[in-house]
Amino acid sequence: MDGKVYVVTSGKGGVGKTTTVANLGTGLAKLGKKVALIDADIGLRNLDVVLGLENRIVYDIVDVVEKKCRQEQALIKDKRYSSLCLLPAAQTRDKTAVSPKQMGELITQLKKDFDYVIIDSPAGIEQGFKNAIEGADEAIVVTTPEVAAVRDADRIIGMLEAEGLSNPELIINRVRVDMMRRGDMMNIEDMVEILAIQLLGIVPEDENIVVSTNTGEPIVLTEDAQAGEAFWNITRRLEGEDIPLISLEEGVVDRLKRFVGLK
Amino acid sequence: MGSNGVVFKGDLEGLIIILDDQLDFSELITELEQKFEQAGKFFNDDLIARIKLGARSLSITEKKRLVEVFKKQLDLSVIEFINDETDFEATQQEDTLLIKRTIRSGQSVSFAGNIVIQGDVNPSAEVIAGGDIVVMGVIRGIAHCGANGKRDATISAFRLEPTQLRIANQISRAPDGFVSSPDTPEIAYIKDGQIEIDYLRK
Repeated sequence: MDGKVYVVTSGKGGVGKTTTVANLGTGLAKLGKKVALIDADIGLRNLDVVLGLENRIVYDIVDVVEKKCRQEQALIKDKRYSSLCLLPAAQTRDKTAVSPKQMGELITQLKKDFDYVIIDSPAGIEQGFKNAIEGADEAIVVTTPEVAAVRDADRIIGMLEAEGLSNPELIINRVRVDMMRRGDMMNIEDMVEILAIQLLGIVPEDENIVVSTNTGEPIVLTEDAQAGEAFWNITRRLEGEDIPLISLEEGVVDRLKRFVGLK
Repeated sequence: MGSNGVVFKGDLEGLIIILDDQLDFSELITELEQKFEQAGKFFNDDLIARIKLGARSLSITEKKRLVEVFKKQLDLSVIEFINDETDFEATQQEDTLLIKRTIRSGQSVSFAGNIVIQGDVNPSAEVIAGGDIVVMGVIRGIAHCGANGKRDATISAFRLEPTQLRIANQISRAPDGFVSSPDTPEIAYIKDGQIEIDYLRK
């Protein structure tokens, strides 16, 4: 049976698409699933760095499409989980090096061998985005609690619907509970009301993310980090488990603070 | 003037200058100089130019002559001489390409002879040479020497901190995690079928 193909997209840059892909992929591999991650950001690749696999790249997606190598040769096996593979983007080329049709064929091939194929979309709504959503069965939209990010997410959801990806799911990233409570940041309810799609998860702002992306160790493997716990929960939701959202009124930190009498 | 032995084209990475490989060399030079004259101050500062030579293989004197013409164009820096791909393998000349700039992420330099870079090779940049590679700076990206199978080719740099080194058909990658390299020039070569790195002495 063919695997499931997800595209992770956002419209706006810098909201955490690549981090999300790296963590969900690693999380699913940790659950024993066979996962292929595709970096569709040709010319500005990053997923290899976030996974710590940059030094293993010999062939890339453009080489596969141009038939300079076989598909298996370009798939890089993760250093932590052997069931996780990365198909890196080319850095010396641009988005026009791959057409949506070629992308579709590539994914049709890949999903035969994997339980999950997750595509990391580039920012923007141009050809790179069109390539990324080609062949996807499901979409995950990542946004942050900022007006600009939400507006771009809304635009993207509209475009996904037009392309037949009618039930995208939402991840709200970089959430700061303290600011939300003060009313200085858009709150979750407002965002879900505007975007009107299923909420898949909320990831708190966590400075450990910076360390994790720089060292190439996905944070989902650090379960005592808040963001790691959040990505782990999202991973398990993808696998069909019923995990409640992290309560915002009372996050882990608050519980601790109250416990030691700070509140 | 109506002939088009020299064609200027632009793309995202800069300027492509296509030189007709059938035209006589001296005519080519004359036409190129005329084209530059016509263009005047048309070019932006520090535009990168790639020169497509087609099937023409240049002698050393011819290449020097060409470089002289380009040197007069202060706002242009030549980054590559490109032959047709079949030619790349056929030409065995020991020419050296000098590049006075840093090769940044996503940029790629390839040349059939040796390459000398006065600058760095940053992560996700690649330098591919038929012969040796010398970087008077830091290699952080990918360097591939002896790309046509020359197994005695070497890669040397003031600091070798590459993502990958490739010599002929041999590949080695940086170890995982944080690595510190000695603050001294080093050289990589093939010894007993393996890529080895040693201090660059003398």
